[in-house]
Amino acid sequence: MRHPGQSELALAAGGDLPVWQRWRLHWHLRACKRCRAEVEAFRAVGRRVASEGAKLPGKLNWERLAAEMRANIRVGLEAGQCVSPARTRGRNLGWRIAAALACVTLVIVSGWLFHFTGFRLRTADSLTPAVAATTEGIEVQDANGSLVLRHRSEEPVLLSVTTDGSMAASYFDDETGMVTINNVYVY
Amino acid sequence: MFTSTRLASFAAVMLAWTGAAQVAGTEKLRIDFPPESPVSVVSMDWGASKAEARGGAMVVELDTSLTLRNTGQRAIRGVTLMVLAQEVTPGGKASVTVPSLNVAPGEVFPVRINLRLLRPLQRGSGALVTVSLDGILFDDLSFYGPNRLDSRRILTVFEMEARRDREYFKRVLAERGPEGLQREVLLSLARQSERPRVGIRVARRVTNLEGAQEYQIAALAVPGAPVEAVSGSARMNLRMADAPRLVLRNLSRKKVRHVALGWIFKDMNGRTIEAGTVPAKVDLDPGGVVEVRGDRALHFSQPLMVESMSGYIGYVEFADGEVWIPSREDLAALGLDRVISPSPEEQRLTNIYRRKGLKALIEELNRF
Repeated sequence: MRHPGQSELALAAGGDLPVWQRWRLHWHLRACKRCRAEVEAFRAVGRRVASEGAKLPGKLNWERLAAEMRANIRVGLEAGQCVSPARTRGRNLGWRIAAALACVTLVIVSGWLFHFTGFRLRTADSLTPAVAATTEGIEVQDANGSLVLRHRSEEPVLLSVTTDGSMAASYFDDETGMVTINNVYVY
Repeated sequence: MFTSTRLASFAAVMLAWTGAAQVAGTEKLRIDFPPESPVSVVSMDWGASKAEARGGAMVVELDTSLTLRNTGQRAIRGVTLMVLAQEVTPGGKASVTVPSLNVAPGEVFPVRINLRLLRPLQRGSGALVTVSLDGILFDDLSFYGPNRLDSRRILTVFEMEARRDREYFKRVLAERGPEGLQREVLLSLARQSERPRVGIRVARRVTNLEGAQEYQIAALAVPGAPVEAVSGSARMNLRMADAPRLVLRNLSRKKVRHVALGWIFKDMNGRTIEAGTVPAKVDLDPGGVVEVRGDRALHFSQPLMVESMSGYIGYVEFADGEVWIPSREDLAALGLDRVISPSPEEQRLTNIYRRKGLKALIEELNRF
């Protein structure tokens, strides 16, 4: 019997194998006790890492960590450019021009979709009715759309939430000289 | 080969692609006040309001200023307008509240509404956005309106806080003079700008809160509070806090129908953060005990490492409509004055000082 490699078993444990490979491995695991045990061991490690990951060290500086990661990514990209082989001049540019035009078209269409229609990627979060603060104001949104109440104030806007699903933005309106409180409520 | 149907479809697609096609004007926005309402609409300035179809979506931009007149016999202290989009605002509803008013009979006052509504394009009749009256609070704490958003309670709490805070600033002025008042206002402005901010989104609870820890909520005893939090706990991980479970006891001799608990987090960096308010509709007889539990969770935009949680009774509404709020002195004694949001009235008074100076603030205090 030919056994799958360690990397394949690790991917299977995390549910990251492509469908075809997953199906193939499923049949192998039914018959192979050793590989089943390997997969289970990988899963146990994964669970342990996840639970350890939840216990982050105290006083962790997120800003600094993020800055270091960005810097490392930049260094890696620049190093990659230094060692990449010199490009040869293209012999046939026809397909490249077509690909470039396709990319430009894709960018224009995407820009139109996102900017002019307000189209947004539907994540699990955006499908759930929720209230939240945005750069414009406070918003109630669900899978069907959104309603934003905007506050125009140079002064700090005081935001507050309740656990029954409402959010309020209290601000001093320079034009009226009064405090106005915008509220959004989720059903 | 193009058929006529295909040509029509193509034309429709191209029309949508070419961008915004204006489909409606301000007639799609409606103000709906009952005829016997003690306020009437004097004028409406729609500004740059518009409703447009953009691709497959309808976008309504509403930037309006309503001028309302007090047509009743009593001075108005606060008003709440409800904002609905064709009775089915996506996922919820919205409102605009103006507290801390002092509008005598016959006087006018403005209310500004600025919103953006995004929804799938649907053909239909009627207004896209309707602005209606939810409630008005008068100077004798009487109320008018359908109260669909519990505006009566909210406006009464704001008015009680406004009276408390005006009295406090007047007392400071009487005892410490204009310089003392100025110092107090500057301290308040500093507290407002220094409050820690955490991006929070409120959504439904999730049944499986991964890596969550159970936190006990330490009850901060506010002297004279008619209700005490006997115990409380909440589950939380780095990104989400589940609505807490609370046990409340009525210490008063009156029946209680609503309690609001202020929920405070202390994080690993030593910051004290006002997480939110836990409102609880109850039916609590004198001496009675009740357990309450919210059905929403707070989702944080950044990981929040909480060390401890505490809570205090923010306000209590009795069955007869009377409202109890904590005094400024009690809040200060518990250190909460540096943590919780100032009242709308404190926000208004301090901004009058910021905009117009000490003299204008003193004049404003003397108006009441």
